[in-house]
Amino acid sequence: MITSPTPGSDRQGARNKGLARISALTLGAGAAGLVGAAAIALTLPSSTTATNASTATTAGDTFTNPFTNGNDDDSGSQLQSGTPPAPSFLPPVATSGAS
Amino acid sequence: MSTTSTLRRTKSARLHTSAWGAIGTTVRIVVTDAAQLDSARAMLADDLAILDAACSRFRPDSELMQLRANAGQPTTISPVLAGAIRAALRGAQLTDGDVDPTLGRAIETLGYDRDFATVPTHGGALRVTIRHIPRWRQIELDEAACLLTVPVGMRLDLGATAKAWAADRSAERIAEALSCGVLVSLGGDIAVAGEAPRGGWSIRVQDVTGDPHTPSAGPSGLIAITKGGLATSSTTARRWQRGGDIMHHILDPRTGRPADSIWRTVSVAAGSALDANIASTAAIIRGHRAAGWLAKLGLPARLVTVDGSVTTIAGWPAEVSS
Repeated sequence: MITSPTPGSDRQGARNKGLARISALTLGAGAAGLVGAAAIALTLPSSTTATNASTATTAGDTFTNPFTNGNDDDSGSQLQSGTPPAPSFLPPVATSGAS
Repeated sequence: MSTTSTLRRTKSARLHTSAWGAIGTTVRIVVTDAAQLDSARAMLADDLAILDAACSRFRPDSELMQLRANAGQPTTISPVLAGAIRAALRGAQLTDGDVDPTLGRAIETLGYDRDFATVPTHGGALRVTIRHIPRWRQIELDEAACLLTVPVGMRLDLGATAKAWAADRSAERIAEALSCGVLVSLGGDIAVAGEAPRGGWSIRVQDVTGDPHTPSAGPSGLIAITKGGLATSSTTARRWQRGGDIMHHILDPRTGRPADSIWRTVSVAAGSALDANIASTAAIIRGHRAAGWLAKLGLPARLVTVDGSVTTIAGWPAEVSS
């Protein structure tokens, strides 16, 4: 199912937030550059990208704004929950952490 | 190096383990039937060799790297690569793009462009210009026909989801073929299948995965699972520096830079290792929103802040020292 793209005003607002963040990053990076640290300049994906993305038909079946703040976030609802883990008092047979 | 051991738990339940290095991480298989350990290890090793040939971004001859020559055109791929890309797209779709497989160029630019063991830990300052981050929705996959089209300029990195997907796949395959309980751990992404041992599969959750017989350096919890999967995402491993800036491997797709999260480690239990990995990776990127999001989904999780404070939600057991 293809749904309508995020309204332009919302997208523009989100984009403005992103641009504000970029300005801060660029300013910070510029200052850092004076002391030899990384200088970072970023450009967000263009609105053209978002428009084009709404026509893709195979990778995603809905279009959502990736810059939403999550207040109405219903993402992940199809992630499978399983049996909750139980406390263990046996020696571990494996560890789960970053690798 | 490879190790094999038998762990006595009770008089009636012994578990049999083999561990070795592959696909740039530590591989561990545990089975409930000693007679099946060698066969289980061989099956898993075969699966991982096929996975590496399909999905590695550090091998010029891998299918993933060969895709670059056919960018923008439908390309026939193996079922394994098709499955791994489907898993990656599932992650992107279910997280609104927070778990994004199209950040290959960004992570290469930041210096992680080879097997991590050979990435220099320190280096000069980077001047990074990310002009455009291609979006995952532009990938076209026909899994039934094994046809894939990747837009010109896009470089895929399946590292976030491929290990977890492979753990699920191998655990199911081995348990069914050998008729025993199986735990597969690929760098801490854990899938279990078949009949669980009495008391469940006991797993220690910590910042950095390691030998279960060696105590954790940081906060840890000891839990047992009987089915499904468990995954941990953390910014405490695969770290390097460029120009004094600390880099890690979990990138925020909004910026193409390492995620600046309030969580250093997030562990999630789910119906599969893949879904656990998708949720834990997204949680690192989502920061403050993560705990509420996971609770709403009913996914048991353990979140560790940068300063080491532990929060457990949605039925994750209270911390038991190990």
